[in-house]
Amino acid sequence: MTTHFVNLLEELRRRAARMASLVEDMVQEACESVIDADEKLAGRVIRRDNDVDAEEVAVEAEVIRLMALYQPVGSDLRLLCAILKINNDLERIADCAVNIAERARHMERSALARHRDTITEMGAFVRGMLRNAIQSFAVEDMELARKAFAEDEHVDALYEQTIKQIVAEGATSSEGMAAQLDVLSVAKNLERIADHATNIAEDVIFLSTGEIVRHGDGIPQPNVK
Amino acid sequence: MPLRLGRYFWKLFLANAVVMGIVLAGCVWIIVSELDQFRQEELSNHLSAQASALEVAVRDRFDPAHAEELNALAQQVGSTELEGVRVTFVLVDGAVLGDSEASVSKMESHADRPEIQQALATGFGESVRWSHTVAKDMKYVAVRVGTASKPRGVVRVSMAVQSIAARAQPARRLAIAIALVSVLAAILLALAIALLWSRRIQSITEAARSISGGDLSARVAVSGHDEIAVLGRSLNEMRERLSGQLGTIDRQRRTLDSLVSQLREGVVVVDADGRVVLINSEAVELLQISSDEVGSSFVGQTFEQCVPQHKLQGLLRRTTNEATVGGDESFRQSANNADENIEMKSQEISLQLATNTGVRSVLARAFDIRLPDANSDELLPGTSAHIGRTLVLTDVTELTRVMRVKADLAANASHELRTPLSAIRAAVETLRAVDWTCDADAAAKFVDVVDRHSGRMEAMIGDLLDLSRLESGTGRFNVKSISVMKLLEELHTSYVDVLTAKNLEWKISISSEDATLSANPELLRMILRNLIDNAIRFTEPTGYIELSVQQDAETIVFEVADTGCGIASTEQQRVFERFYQVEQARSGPDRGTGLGLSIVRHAATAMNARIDLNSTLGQGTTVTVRLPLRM
Repeated sequence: MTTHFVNLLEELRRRAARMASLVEDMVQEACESVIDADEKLAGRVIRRDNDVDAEEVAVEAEVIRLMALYQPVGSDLRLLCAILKINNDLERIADCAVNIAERARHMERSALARHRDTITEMGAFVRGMLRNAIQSFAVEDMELARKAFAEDEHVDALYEQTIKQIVAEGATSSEGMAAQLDVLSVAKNLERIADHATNIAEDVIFLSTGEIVRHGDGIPQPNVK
Repeated sequence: MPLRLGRYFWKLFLANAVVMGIVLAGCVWIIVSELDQFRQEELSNHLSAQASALEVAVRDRFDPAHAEELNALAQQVGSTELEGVRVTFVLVDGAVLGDSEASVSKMESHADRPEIQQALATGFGESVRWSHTVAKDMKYVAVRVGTASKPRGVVRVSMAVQSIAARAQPARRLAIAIALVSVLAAILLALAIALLWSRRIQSITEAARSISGGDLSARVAVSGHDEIAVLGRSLNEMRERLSGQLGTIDRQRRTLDSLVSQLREGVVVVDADGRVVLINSEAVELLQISSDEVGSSFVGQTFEQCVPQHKLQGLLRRTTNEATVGGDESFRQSANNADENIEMKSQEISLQLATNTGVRSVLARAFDIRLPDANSDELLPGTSAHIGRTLVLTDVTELTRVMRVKADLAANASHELRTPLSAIRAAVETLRAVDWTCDADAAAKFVDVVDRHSGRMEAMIGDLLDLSRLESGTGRFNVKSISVMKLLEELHTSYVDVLTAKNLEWKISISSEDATLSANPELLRMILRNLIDNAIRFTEPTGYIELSVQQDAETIVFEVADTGCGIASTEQQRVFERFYQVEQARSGPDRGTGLGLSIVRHAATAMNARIDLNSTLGQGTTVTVRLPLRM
């Protein structure tokens, strides 16, 4: 492969890493906007989604351009595939962040007060997981990727717990259903973000080893190395 | 140094050996061939002398009539007088008169023999050829008998070539032996020279190699004044200069490193490609990146790998390269100046970073810097390829906190002073309206209010003055010898009324009755009074206040313990702040100024003392003051 191609590939990888950190920032601000009930911050998150959408399209176009022009093989091809998939996941994560920020605009203070700790904990954990997944991509670190991959279960558990809590409250509380649904929606979106982070971690493992780790061990492994 | 025979050795050795060998062999060959020549000539001369002598002897009777006699002579000469020499007498017509080895009767005509023809023509003939008569290679020398005009025959003397060779053999052997010995000597000499020279070259090579490998301790042992010695000496000089320069560079680098690493600011420098050129430990700490994530060193990594925070990434990207993607509004502003890529742009944002030691408020500034070109010494102006970016992270957590405390102080001070002032004003206004003569009781109540609140204001202003005096440090604090026992008694006396009124027990424990210390009595009293005031204020009746003093070699420890309401652990850090009051203190009827513990802390600082607060909610508080015995 030519040096030019290697440079383009490296630039693309860095571009994806920057987009990842932007999305991570959005998730953080979305969480903060919910916890602090900061509508201005929420508005900022929603505005920044346009940038992510534009960047997603640009990265995808660049991946396709490189594939068509240079017809890469081996690890280069894997990198391009991984970037394509991670790009997609990042865009979805940004959408989730926007959903959370939209909830923050209308959320009832009373419902928020009761669930603030749960949301804070879940938000912090999901952010940490996303950070690990993104960093594992930036430095191609298998250990971090596996860590992020393993953390998804804990997020699922937190989500379950939140649902139970809301259901239990729903039975006793006289509060409107809308407030409960807002909290549920935030938790659901955080859980979705964690799923996408897991996908990113999987793609990093695929990028490094060519091994497809999603759906557990039951799926037969095609030879893609 | 182990001797390895390199190519140079073999070249030197083979060249020397070949040259010497060729020269020697040439010499030997020339000598041997000269010797041969000489022997040949000697033999010719010898044979021709014999032939001439015989010619003289047989000149008179050289005719067929004396054939018998001549044959006998020939045989006699051939067999006895001249060993290995064949003598033949030949007539002009070729008929043989006598021969020393063959029978004359069986011999053919010798007229066609070249030496005989030559001798008949010139008087002397010579040839080397195969003899049919004796079946050997022979050397012949013939001398004419008679004059040129009237030749009578030829005397021929000959000798077998084989025996000539046999005679030359010992000399030849000797020559070959000498040649062999000298070739051997030449080889040994070449070997010695090659070893000697190649060893010197080798030692220089080794030294040069280890210098190029970075080992500057290698020295070449130099002797003599030839070119190799000069080379070795130059190498040694080069090594010294190099190690001097490297030492300077190393020192400068270490100075720079330690300066950068000791900076309180986090610094990240990236080059035009966005790769990290420099990052200090403070930045690593603030950015929460560990070397596990990016490998052993961050230098050379892209900033996307080292700086995870998107806002900081936005600062590090040179806005000239491409439009900022998804950045903050602040980044956009500078992206508009894309044309002025030479101008050094700087940006600044503040953000919160979560670190090991909690969330830090960080002021991040980024600006363009010129980086030296790898191929040139100068900082090239203008070309954007050499413009990197520097990110400076300043931890402003403490600054923010201090600013908050100051703002709180101003707000609190005005608020706290206003509360008693409002009460006083209200009381005074009421007193104006009150008819003193008929409502003396009410009037007295309002005067009490004025009294109480003005007292509180006075206390507060006194505290504030104390504080500002302590803080500004302008007040002189004279050191005197203080008797601890006296001090405690004095304190007890001043508090005895309050203690009785509140039904509190006063306990004292002291390690040594005659303990004394050198300190400023005013400051010490200030500390203890404020602590005891607090202890009394927050302890319910029937509790106790315990004052204990322990002394050791270097410190004296005052401990004020109470059985009061205690302070929650979350508030323990804040109670030393000015006007900070825990919830109970704010709401209680006998509220303090909120300045006591702040004064205690400042006074303790002025006395080099250490304050520890230990408190359990609902059980009591112990404040420990450790004072050095000598100020």
